[in-house]
Amino acid sequence: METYDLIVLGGGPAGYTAALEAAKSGVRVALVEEDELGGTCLNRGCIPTKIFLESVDVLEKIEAAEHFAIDFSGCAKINRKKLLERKQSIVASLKDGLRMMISSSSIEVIAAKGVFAAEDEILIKGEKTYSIKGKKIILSTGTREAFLKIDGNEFIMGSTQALELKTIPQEVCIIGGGVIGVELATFYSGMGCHVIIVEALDDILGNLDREMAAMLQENLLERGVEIHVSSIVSEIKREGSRFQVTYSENGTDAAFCVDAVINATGRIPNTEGIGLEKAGVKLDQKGYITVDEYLETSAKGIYAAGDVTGGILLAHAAFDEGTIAARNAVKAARILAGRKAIPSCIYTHPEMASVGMTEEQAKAAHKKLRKGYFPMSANGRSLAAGNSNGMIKVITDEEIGQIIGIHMIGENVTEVLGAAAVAIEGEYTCDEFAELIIAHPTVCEALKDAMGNCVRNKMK
Amino acid sequence: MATEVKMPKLGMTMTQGKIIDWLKTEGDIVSQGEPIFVVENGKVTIDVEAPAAGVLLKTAVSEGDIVPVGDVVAYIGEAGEKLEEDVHSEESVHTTEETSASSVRTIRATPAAKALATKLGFDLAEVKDFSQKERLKRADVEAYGKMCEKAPEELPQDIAGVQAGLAQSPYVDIVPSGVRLTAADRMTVNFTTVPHFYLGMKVNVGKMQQMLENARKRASGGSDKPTFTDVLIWITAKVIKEYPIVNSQWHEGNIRQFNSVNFGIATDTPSGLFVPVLRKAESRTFEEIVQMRSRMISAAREGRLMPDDMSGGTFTLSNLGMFGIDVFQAILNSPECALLAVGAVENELFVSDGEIGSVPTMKMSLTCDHRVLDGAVGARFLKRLKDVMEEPAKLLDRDLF
Repeated sequence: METYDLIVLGGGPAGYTAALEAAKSGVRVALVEEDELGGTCLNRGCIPTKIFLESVDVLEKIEAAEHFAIDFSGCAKINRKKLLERKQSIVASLKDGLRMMISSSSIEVIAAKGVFAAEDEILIKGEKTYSIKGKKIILSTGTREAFLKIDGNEFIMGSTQALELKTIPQEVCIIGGGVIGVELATFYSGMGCHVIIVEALDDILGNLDREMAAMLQENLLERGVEIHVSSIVSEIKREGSRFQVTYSENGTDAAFCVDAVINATGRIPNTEGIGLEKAGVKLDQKGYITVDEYLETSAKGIYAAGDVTGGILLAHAAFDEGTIAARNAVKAARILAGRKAIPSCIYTHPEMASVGMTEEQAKAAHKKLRKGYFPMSANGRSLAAGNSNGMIKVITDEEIGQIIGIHMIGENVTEVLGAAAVAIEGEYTCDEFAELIIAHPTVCEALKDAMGNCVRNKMK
Repeated sequence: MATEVKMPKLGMTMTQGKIIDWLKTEGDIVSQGEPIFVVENGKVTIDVEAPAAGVLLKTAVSEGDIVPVGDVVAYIGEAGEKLEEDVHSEESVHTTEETSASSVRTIRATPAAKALATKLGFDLAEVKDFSQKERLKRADVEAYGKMCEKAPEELPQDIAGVQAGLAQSPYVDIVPSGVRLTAADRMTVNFTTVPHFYLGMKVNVGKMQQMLENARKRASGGSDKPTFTDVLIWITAKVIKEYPIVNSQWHEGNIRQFNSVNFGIATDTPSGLFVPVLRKAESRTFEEIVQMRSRMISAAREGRLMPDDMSGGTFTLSNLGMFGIDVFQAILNSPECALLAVGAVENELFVSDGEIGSVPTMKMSLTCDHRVLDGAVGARFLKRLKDVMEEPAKLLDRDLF
């Protein structure tokens, strides 16, 4: 039986990052992945959706050509087949890059399913069945889409399936008003579809700063997206070539017909059927793997990273956890996880980007707060780019003006998020940030201006 | 490369610390921020945290060792790493002086750490010496703040144990408290390395007593009660300002003159002798001196003094009059170059023009560091001090009368 210094179960963002990090020390690593390397992010998530949204972006810019003093009388349309080809090409190129990095290291990729046979033994079920041993193991099996358990749920398209773009529906219902639901709504509305979002909670985008979520909702409504909150879907029936969605809004039943129903209700961990009980790895109530602050599970020598540990389900959080888990497992480093601020973006029109606490979280943690706002309509770069819609909001503590939350809506704010994350991680105060020299004219300037307004608010 | 763990500076004048306890042993894995050893600095004991995560590769000193600030006490790194400790220990001897000078100019700290330190009145150099971190974060400033709040520990004297011991043997060895040890070390150094001489003078304290009575009458019910010590401090500080050489120190071949008179008051407490310092005494109003002195003495007696309360002094007053001592020669509070020791006020009889009278008289003794002060210089200062004490109006403070 082969013994590896480290076995990584799952080759998504957390897994391949962990494997590459461990390989830096020259140890023998086995990366077990039964599907595609790159996981959800590369194959079914972040990358494909951004590629699709980019085409919608360009289409919208063409449709607004007159605004930019361009005479254009043609008619632009998204070519579904070519868009799929573009997606496949970019995903393949990124995957090649990943494969090259892996093959030039001491990582052995095992393209098969792996399950626990004992606490340090993984049974590989591929063309051949055999066991391998690992001195340390990192679990990074990720999450998958959760589907509603209702009548007619076989008619619901998963977001994965939606990205195959078999058809562009005229009217589409998206169940779930979270980040994914809202991005899908942006995509379909940009393609000319009528979108109806059905959200069970009282607000869409429940995890966001309320003030910013309200602004995003306004933008969606202006795009013609229909939003129903406090609405629970009870049944889906086939009506010829269409689907009838029955739902209960605030206790009142209603229904509508659409050409497609897409699921965006959330995700569940991939922790069943891999023999975790044999290894003594404990799960929480929702099935996520419980880990301590060093990302070690209840089984000594077995760590977990990425979506499968729960918490924030984002690829960049997974990259960080993969790195930490690898160092702790292989180099006995004892680095604490969860200590850094995690930024998040939503690729709507305009985009949303934030890092740090929402105003609601900040109010709970600090006695007094200070805020600063700056509208994109006063930012030169944004106006030149034809984007006057948006706002930057900065939250600091009252005591020393330390920046605790930055929330931005506007075109390209996801690129400003880097500076925002540095400000939070680097413990910047709004006073110090407002003194930085930020290039002019840029969208990032609006962040500096919001900081300036925050400083002024102190002096009142 | 391994991270060096150095003896941190836990107070402005700390030059060495005693390792009381190792909380981790060689080979242990430690997290950044985890306490790894306990240090006693005269009057305070502190848990020192690991500056980095890793394996505790080597502990270079043992429990009970006294280590100079800045010296390496341990190494943290990766398992199996080789150490170049000989090179490092030599370097650290030479660079301690340089880094302490340059660290004031180039301390790396996040904006929040700087803002918090400013708000709380902390010196970033002190925080850096305490935390030993390359880049100070807010949490490091907060940790330094918590350290300052800690009360000095009092080591119990087991009287019963000592007496029991003496019943059985001609002598018993008592382990001295940190305070006692510090005093023993410092007094020995002061007395043996500094050339002392003493100048004595008698003073008619009648006018000072009058001043005190007026001040007491003016003091409102709730505020602190002025004492004779306050009068001594107020006057002496102002006279020292007239003689800058008395507010100086022999420092590595130079005479270092200070711009403020930071006045130390030798105070007897249940834990031993402490000298809290009243900063910028020459520019304080009499009321401020009363308040500050009262606060300092209470803190000293209750064991609440912080290391910084006792550092930076430029002159010391010692008063044993309350015990009936008439005069005494005190050991200098080095690196200060002068110390005023005063005794009890006694009524002295005098004869003048065939008349017998009595005058309240106090004997004072000025101890001087002969490297800085010559006899005549000290004498001129002491004479001026006596003159001003006997006629405070010469100080031109309209408010006081």
